[in-house]
Amino acid sequence: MGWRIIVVILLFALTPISQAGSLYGGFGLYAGKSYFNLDNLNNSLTRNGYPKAREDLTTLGFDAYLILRNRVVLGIEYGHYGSSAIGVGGSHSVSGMKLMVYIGYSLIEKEKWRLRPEIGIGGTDLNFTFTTAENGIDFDDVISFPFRSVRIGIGPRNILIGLAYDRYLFQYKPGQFVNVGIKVNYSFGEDSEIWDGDFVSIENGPKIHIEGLSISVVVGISGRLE
Amino acid sequence: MKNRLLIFLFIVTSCASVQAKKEFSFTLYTAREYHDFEGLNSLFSSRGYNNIDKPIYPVGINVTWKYNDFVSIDLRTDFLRERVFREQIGGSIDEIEAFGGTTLLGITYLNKRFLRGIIDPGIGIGFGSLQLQTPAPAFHGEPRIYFIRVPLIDSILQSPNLESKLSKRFGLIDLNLSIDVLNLPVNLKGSYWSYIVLKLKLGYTFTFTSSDWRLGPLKVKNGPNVNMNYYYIRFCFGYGGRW
Repeated sequence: MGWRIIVVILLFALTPISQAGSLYGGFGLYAGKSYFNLDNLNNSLTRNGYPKAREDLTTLGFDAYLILRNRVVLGIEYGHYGSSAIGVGGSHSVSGMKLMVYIGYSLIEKEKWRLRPEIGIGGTDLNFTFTTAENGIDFDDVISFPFRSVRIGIGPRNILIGLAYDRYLFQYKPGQFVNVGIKVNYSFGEDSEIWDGDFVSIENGPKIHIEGLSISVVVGISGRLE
Repeated sequence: MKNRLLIFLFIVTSCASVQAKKEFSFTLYTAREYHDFEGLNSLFSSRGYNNIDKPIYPVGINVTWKYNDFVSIDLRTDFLRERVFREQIGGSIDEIEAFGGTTLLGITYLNKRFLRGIIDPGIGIGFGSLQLQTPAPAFHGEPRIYFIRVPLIDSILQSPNLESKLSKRFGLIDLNLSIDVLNLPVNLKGSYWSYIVLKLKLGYTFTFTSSDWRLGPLKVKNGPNVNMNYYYIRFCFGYGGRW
């Protein structure tokens, strides 16, 4: 939880900066794929009869940034992921989020496009629900005997390096554009093995190491802030 | 839920950043909501639990961005929590926690002609969720029924039998009237000014689509027919400004 509070404070700290003088910035929604290394968890899952967890998770989120002095980029990125797998021996679902603040540099700025490398810090939360119940279980059965599943989560911190490419599609107001872009990030995470849930904690859980690519397509607006 | 709150704060910050030199207000609110919990209550009754019959008072936050004194765009999110109980033979208590939340994006027409512009009509769209967790987890420092530490994940995977969280999602439409009760300037500096705002909102939210009940990845059949249709009166108090 701590890293998320720090990120929120940083974000609010950016707001007054954005109101000083003429600034540039952008906001976009994105869809993409994030790739994780879940080998240790998948070993535990297959050993116990569960299907493997996906290591490529569809990510939906937003990206917002300011450009200071025409070059320095300050931004935030939020992404939400989820997936599920149903197997014979057991089933699981995962939902999670990532939240990053980043600083970048507008390296190439052309009439139609811009390229900006970035580096950021933040965290990832992954929450798993495991169950051995059958698909299509009766609602009343769950209420009568609720001990059907367990939920545990893990939240490693990570840093990213990335490259963002923005292509301006058209100008909808003087100095303001609708644009599409591609972001390619590589995340490095700490080794985390602390798993917690509402009713359980695991002393020697499988290590999760958030390391891998994320590739996103961004659609949004950018330009001079009024 | 913590995540939802944080996401909302990020969106707020983003809006504030990108829309500088606009009018912008941030309010906290509570509301009196009139839900129809018939579906849930019949389930609870059939299993010996008490019903949800007391007033529902969710809490939430609301951000408004006023555009050209013509329309305003609102983003709001709130949540509510209720618990129902039953006593077992021998005196032990079973408990189910119902946890709901909504997030809506709305647009309000800033009426200047009728009733001196005090009452503004609005419409919104968003989503809601309802979760039934049993046993109920710890909340606000209350002790858990049990908490275990296991040495390895294998023991959990072999017997994942600690709890159940049933969930259902809803697509929502909101119709409302917004009434300005108080708009008190507190700071005037050139083109910048800020104010304290108190608003009253009267509205109706109804479900236009909903998902199946789910237990983690699994579909759950024969669940109660529950919707998130409700009337509300909302009290919003906060701070705004024009840059």
